[in-house]
Amino acid sequence: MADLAQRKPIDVRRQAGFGTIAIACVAVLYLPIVVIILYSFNSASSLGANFKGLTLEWYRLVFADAAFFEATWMSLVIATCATGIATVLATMAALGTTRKREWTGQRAAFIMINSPLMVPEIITAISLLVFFSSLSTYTGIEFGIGKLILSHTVFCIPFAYLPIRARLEGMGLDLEQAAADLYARPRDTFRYVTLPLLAPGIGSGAALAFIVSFDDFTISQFVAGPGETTLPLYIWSRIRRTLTPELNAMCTLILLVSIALIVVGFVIANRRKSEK
Amino acid sequence: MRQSVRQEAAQTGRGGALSVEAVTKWFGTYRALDAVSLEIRSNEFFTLLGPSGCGKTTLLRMIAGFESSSEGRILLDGNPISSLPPYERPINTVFQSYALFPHMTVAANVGFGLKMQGRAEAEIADTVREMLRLVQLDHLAERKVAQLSGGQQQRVALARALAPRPKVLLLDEPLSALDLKLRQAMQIELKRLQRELGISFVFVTHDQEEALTMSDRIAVMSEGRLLQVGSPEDIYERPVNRFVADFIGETNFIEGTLDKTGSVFTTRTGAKLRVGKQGDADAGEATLAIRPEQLHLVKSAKQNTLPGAIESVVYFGTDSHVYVRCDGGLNLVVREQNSRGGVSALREGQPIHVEVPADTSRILKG
Amino acid sequence: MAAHSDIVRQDLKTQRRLTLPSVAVIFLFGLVPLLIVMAYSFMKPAVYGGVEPELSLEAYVSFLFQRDLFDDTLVFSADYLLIFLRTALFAMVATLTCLLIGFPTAYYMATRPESQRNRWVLLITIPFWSNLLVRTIAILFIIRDDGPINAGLMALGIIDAPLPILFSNTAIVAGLFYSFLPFMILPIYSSIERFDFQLVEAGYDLYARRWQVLRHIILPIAKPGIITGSVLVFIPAFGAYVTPLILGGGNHMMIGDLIALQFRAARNWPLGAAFSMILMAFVLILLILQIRKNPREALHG
Repeated sequence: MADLAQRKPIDVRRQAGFGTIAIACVAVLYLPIVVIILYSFNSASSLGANFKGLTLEWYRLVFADAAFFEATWMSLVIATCATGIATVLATMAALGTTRKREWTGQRAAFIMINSPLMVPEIITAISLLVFFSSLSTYTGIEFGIGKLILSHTVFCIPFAYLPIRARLEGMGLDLEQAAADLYARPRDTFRYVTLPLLAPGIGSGAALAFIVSFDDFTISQFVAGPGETTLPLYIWSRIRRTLTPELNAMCTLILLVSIALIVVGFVIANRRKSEK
Repeated sequence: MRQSVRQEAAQTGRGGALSVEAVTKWFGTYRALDAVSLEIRSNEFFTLLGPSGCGKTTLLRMIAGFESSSEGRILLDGNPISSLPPYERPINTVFQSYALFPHMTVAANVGFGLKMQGRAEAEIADTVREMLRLVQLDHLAERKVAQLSGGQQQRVALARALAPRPKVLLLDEPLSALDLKLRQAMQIELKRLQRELGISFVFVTHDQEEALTMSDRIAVMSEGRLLQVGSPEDIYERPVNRFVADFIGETNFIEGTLDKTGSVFTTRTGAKLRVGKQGDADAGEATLAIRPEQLHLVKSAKQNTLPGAIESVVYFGTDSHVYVRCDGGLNLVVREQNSRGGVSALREGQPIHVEVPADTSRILKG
Repeated sequence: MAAHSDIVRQDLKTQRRLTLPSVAVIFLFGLVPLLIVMAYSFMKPAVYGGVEPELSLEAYVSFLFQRDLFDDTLVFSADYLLIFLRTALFAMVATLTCLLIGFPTAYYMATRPESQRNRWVLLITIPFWSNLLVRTIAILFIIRDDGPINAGLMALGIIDAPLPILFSNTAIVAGLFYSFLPFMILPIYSSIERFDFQLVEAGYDLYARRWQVLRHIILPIAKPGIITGSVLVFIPAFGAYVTPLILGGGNHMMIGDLIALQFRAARNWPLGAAFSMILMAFVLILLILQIRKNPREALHG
């Protein structure tokens, strides 16, 4: 009896060992990333395991590499174009599928817009290869760098569309109706009410689109023509030769770009939440 | 025509008169409104009252222009407005959710309608100040709406809808989110604003007490149909049917038959009650309706009394509700003022008689 | 009245026009290429890549059979089928491992105080959106014969010679697990996070033990998340290309590489196209099954 009374209140949510697994899980997810970042500062010139000392030599080499800059520039141009086009199209589509009536074929359009997410990347890659090469064989149309931009746009659209649509759905129609009630024509309702409230959604949609385009390897590998080397393609071409410490520095730089974008997007999303 | 409606609103500042003509609304196979016709007079405080799902909000949204009607039409001061989008109707709405713009300050919210009308900035600033003073929020002009309490948000929504001086103001259950004390204060304030500004108010509520205290006239709706339109007194004292009588305040119903002269009502147990003259009730099966406060408890049987026994007494401050079980399974509620002696002496199971005064009872069909 | 229905019609027209460009782009550069691949899978290969416009089921036949060089008879050949089966096995093992590690993690995250949960989600999200190629190279880097893991184990005296992990089946499965783990954690997390734990306390009052609570209350709650997570891991693992390319060293093929090979060195487009169609059919069946089981989750994409 006394034993019962003295027993501490149990936290029923606790499951033994789950915390350890969770921490191990995070460790596993970060271990390779942390190791590669660490070794990018390793002064040993071979890619051995021994850690000799700190150096920025590898970064110096990377920054002296003209091909690296060309590839970075190529990636930025493509990601920017694809993100721009995809975000504008996705915003329009998100408005069209949530504002304000349901139309026949809307569900089909929704599935269509999200379909790039369901196709394995390798299939998208070879189908675009087949498509563009057939196009140039049978019609003589060459897209140049446009091939990469268009290919990226296709899979960027759903990544931009989903957060924008989620935001619109969360907004309800009340505010826009209130604006129309207060003499705002559709154009003004969009400008003064819908767009400012939608901005965070557009921001996170664009950030996601940019990340997936900037990081894409598989599709670019099949679609890119000669001279259209994006950053991941350049890294691949380097890794096929020999592993050098420089490579660690390049990978670190790429990781930093993605991580910065994610953290910024996350902070925006959370500030938006706490404002409510 | 569009232009003239808006200019008139701006110039005369007189409340608009609305005509709803045989409006029917289908949502798929569900009929939300069934040939509703009503007239809302200029400068009137008009209330649409009914339980949720009765079609009152649909009708309001139709007047605002958010919903189209399947049949029928709506006129404002004689001009059809059914084909106008919301932004071309000189009608503003106070939404149930307030629908304040969260990214704008209080002042920007209130000035929004004026800005969209293309008014000069100085005029907007003046009107905003005036409106905020009117709802006693002038000190909060630069706050974001998220920083306001529910009651304050309610006032901002009101000021925002009033600022462009609409001909008609629509209010969709605007007080439902407020606590009782605040709600009562706002009821008085709304009434004052409506008188001062000379704007027709169309108020939607499911709260009969709110409707009775504020309205010039009330329309009672149920299942998409209009049951009765009249002054609060009409609706309360002379309900046209059992639904209205039951929905508006508490009512006792006694079933029985009415004789040919229309002055004697026989209950199921055979008791005869004299009733006042009934204009439209036919002889035959009928229901006698009477309010709890119109019944009286008496010690001994006399004319127009029904015998019974006290079932329970519930104390309500100024009055008590006395539940009486009469013969034939009939349960009646009698409301007695506590100031009247003897109420506290009532005991459960005590035999009693209930007097049904002839002049206040009302005979309903069926 | 006619005028108002004009407004409705106008609205619908505007909405269609807004949605059309996205649909058109995806149709033209997403669906049409897939349809071309489908058409090509029924044609004959041209010598230097591309196809001969001639109807043929050869590509599908050669998935299971080989044509004898001399008498042209069909002989059953398990080569491609084995690659498919191996791919399925790898994807399955990776999915199960992800579930085994991912479920407790997701549960632990969901039971943190609200202020900490966001930080956990961010922790899991960062690898989720980090460059897959770079992350795979990072694994390559640490599991090399002279990489930090082997060096560490040897320094501790646990092993004498480096473990040959790289370019092995283990490396591929580990790579798949590592690449897609966040896809498992996040859906399970969001299905548990919404759950009101007061119900568990009710369960406890009825003298349920912890593991009974887990089995009878938490698991049913988490089931939609588990299904979604498993599909989200299995599908990309099944179609994986980068992971076996880098960690398999070309020796341990999965379907993804097999398809890629047909469009590169082998120059047999119809065969690659047919493999793609088989893979695509597989994925579609899985997706449809998932939507059937889980219609609510499917609506969220």
